[in-house]
Amino acid sequence: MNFVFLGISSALVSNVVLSRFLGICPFLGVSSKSKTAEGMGIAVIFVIFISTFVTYNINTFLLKEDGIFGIDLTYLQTIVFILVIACLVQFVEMFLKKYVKALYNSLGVYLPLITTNCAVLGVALTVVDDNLYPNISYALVYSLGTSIGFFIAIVLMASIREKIEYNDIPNAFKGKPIVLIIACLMSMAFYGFSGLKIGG
Amino acid sequence: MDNNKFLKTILNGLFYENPTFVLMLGMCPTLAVTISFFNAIGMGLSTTIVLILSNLIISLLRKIIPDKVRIPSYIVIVASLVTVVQLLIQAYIPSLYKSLGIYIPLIVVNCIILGRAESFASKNNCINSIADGFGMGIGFTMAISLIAILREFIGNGSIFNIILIPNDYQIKIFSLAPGAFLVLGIIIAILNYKNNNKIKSDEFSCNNNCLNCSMNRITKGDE
Amino acid sequence: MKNNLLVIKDALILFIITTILGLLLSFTKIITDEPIKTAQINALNNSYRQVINDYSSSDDITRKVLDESITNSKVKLINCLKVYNANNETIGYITLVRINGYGGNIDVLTGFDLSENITGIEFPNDLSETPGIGMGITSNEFKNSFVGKNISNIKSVDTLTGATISSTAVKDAVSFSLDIVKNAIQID
Repeated sequence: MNFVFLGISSALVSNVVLSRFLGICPFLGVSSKSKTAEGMGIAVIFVIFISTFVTYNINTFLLKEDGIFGIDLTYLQTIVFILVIACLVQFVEMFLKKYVKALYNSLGVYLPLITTNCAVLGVALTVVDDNLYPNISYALVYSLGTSIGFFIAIVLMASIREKIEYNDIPNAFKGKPIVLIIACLMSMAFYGFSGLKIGG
Repeated sequence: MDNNKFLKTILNGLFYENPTFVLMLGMCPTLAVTISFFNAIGMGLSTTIVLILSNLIISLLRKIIPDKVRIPSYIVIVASLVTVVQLLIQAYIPSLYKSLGIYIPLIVVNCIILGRAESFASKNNCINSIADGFGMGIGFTMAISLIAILREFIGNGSIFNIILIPNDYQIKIFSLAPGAFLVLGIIIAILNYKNNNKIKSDEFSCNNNCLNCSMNRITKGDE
Repeated sequence: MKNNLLVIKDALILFIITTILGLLLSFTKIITDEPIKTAQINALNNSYRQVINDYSSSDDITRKVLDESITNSKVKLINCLKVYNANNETIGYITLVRINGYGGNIDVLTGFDLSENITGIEFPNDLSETPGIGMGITSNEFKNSFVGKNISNIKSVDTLTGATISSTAVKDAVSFSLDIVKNAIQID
């Protein structure tokens, strides 16, 4: 039950984009068409899940004081995690290019952009907090919830933007400002989810 | 002539290509740390320091770093600098460390730093790179400080934690998540209006040209 | 052959850059280690001083007070300290407990004097309660409403309107702390 609550709260209640402000750059930049938004969303789910798994284990077995090296190397988290994420994205891209050509073709351009997505590094750094995420299953549920939340947010934004494409937007607001206003309203709407509380 | 370029580069970063309002890079910290003026200035100055140092180092090494490994090199350089800054803040300004929290390490993936490294520092000499780092950094700091002042004053009725407007007249929404989007959107709309740009409905600074986006080139590595 | 040499040269340069940066990082870590520890201890001592004014030093008695009979499924004891003042006399106890609030965990730091009365409560760690509503538990009025209470009248503390879950969680946490301290004083 706890996992369900964790998953729902990380996806909806404190949505990664609309509440925690991670992953804004692709959210604003890639959400103009729903097809590309879906592609980006799925790629992000993929990358966040795998990278959380890898970085969590690296932290547990290498960087913490009771790991292999025996000394507290947690100050290297930033460097190690970002390098791991960059490599992971390259590998995922090569793997997809070779074995799942269709997925690669639809995601292709956006995969490398995920390296600089704040959400990936943000989630990786958040789940290594011992107090809140005692073991790896919590971390994985959280990462899955977060990335699904990103998917929901970006697809919603894309659908809204497609709908208003032919509306009469004031000149000053055309382009990014109207996207930000839409995000503001979405964020307010998502506040409604704060009422969700399942289990204990 | 060199002095002119130096000044022009700084002004470029401050106004003409302001990273927040014009280039729209580094949105994540912009929206997240602008809840209070103190946080915004702290974040802005930390980013400026990292930006200046990384521009300097990358410019110094631009002839030495091979093209094939330039992305990992940039990442390693920026990540080390951010970790150094993080340790220093944690040691000497613990209150700032507590309020910025996870956003200090996230300076690494701040598009501004990698973006300027790729597009400016790797092609210009040291002095101009420092100027660019300084201009962009201070431009970023000014932009987020402006947003922070507005959000803190209207939403919390305070400046630097000194309450000026009583509780009943504060518009709390500005201190919360939606307020961030709102303030940024309105400021950019005002700037657009003043510039009288004929902006087409889907135009971003990269013209939605993802294949040639500088960020894409950065993360793809070669070519 | 030439390709291999190029790759090795590229890798070598990357390796050198990484090594130099690594050294710079370790150097920074060494010089900031002390100040960081000092800053953390200062912050902790400050929060202790906010719940017990004459806090000077303490002993960690967490192991001793953890008793099967007073465990609570909702509240977790993190730390229990026996507090001394500047003259090394015992002046009270401090407990740090964790309970699940509305948006996440709430860490409640409570100070007690020797007659098991509450001297103050604090929230030393970040809270994720709803801003403006649940976060009202950090207001001085709410925190002060606990001062002077003990086991007999803890139930009389008012919860916050509109923030039932958050404030009830704090009340439960403080009740649990009272039981812990009662046990601690008995053991002593």
